[in-house]
Amino acid sequence: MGDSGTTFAGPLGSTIHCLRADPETVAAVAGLDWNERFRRVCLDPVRGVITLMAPSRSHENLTGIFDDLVDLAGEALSRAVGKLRSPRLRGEGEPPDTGMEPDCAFYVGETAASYVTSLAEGDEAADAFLERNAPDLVIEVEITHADHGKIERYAHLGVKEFWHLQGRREDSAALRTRFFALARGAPPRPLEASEALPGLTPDDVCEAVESIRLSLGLRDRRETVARIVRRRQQASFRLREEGPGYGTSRTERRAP
Amino acid sequence: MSESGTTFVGPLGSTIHCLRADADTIAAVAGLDWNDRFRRVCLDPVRGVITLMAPSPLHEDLAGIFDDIVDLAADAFATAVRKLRSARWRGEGDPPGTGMEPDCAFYVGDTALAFLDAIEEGPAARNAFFERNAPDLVVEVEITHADRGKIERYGELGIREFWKLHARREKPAALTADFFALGRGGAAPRRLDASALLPGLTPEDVCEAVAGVSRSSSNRERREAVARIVRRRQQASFRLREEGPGYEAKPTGRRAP
Repeated sequence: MGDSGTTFAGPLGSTIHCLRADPETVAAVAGLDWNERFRRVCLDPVRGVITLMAPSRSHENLTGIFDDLVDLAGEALSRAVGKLRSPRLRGEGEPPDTGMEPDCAFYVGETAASYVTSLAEGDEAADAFLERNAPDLVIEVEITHADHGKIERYAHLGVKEFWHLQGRREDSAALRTRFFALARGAPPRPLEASEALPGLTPDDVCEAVESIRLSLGLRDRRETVARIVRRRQQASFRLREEGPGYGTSRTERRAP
Repeated sequence: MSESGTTFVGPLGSTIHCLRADADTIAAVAGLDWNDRFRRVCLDPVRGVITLMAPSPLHEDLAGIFDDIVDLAADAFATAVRKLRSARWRGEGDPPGTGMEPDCAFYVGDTALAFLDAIEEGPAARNAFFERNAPDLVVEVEITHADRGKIERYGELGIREFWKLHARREKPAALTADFFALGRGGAAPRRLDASALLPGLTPEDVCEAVAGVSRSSSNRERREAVARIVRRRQQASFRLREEGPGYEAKPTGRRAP
């Protein structure tokens, strides 16, 4: 693709089209039924970007794994989790139908419990809840240079934590994950361990992805994630007993 | 609008969004129902442009007037014409759903007659005719800098003649027009003093006809306004032929008093 091109292939083999447009154009085209032709769409009037994605099989496989992983880790940590999949998230005052569509999004803890309450009240209440409350955790499994400024946009929308997976279609074993704490008006802060799912590290997540990828059923998946969470909790407990506090690097002090 | 902006307001007050995209992106988005939201759409994989227009009332008014003028002028010249309005035209091998949507388009003369034959054969023959035959004449009533390279694209599509109107919302009566003969193979558009398809009709005649038609309150008045201009042009052209220089000379510079 040339410098002026708008068609990209992502590291997981997805096809991505990225158009630059001013806020008026983004608002004007937002009413088109983009999802009729593109599985994943981002219409961002703030960054001036229209991103259209045909996700690859690897992309979809990974997002499915992360949906399971966060759900099961929440269960193992006794934290409520509400899966949102890929809703379109927009900021207050932004034009209708615009917004960001993350690969995976979750309410965790109290927000998840409140979300379930709104679901019980009906679709309208759940939609209103989603309008008012950004997800606690957002995951992107395939980032390209078309996504420049995306993490800051999530922060601006009120997302609290962001996981970014770096993998390549050619080498499924070479996964890396980075965690960031987000806050409005502040740069993303790298995390050594999740705050949404306390103690879980990027290395734990990569290990869980590999195991879930090869698991045969829900029971397998649940046991895999529960084992990783238990091990992390035990390591964390030992670390607390031995000295340095929670804020120190867990990945560097991992129990054998 | 800033230089990096994609939203324009045309000289007739239409709102135009112009996105730059490569050919793969244009082919990918061509299947969207753009016309559901935008009255006029151009998806051009060759120039790498997506143009979306919400035409102003003045734009639509002028496009309607030109539909009438060409129809009535052809009637006065006893030439067959077929209005094609704003159909989407694409080149051979261009992806489905892409193409250019002119403000007005026409088959004129033999092509119009052949098109009528295709219509009589049925929808399949009519659609095949569309695919094989570009319009003879295209008219654009509102051109902005988002339309750079458009005239050359019409030439490559096989359109023979192009009329470009210059009008402004602030002074709708102050019209000017340019006529161009187009050709394929990178041939530069050639400015015409008079139409080759509606022989002898000049840009000034057309602007005068716009004024006449826009003031008309009935089809009869419109027909008479255009027929009067065509008759005068034919008489002037006849006198010119009798007096000396042939048809190729500039009739606009030698207009009868």
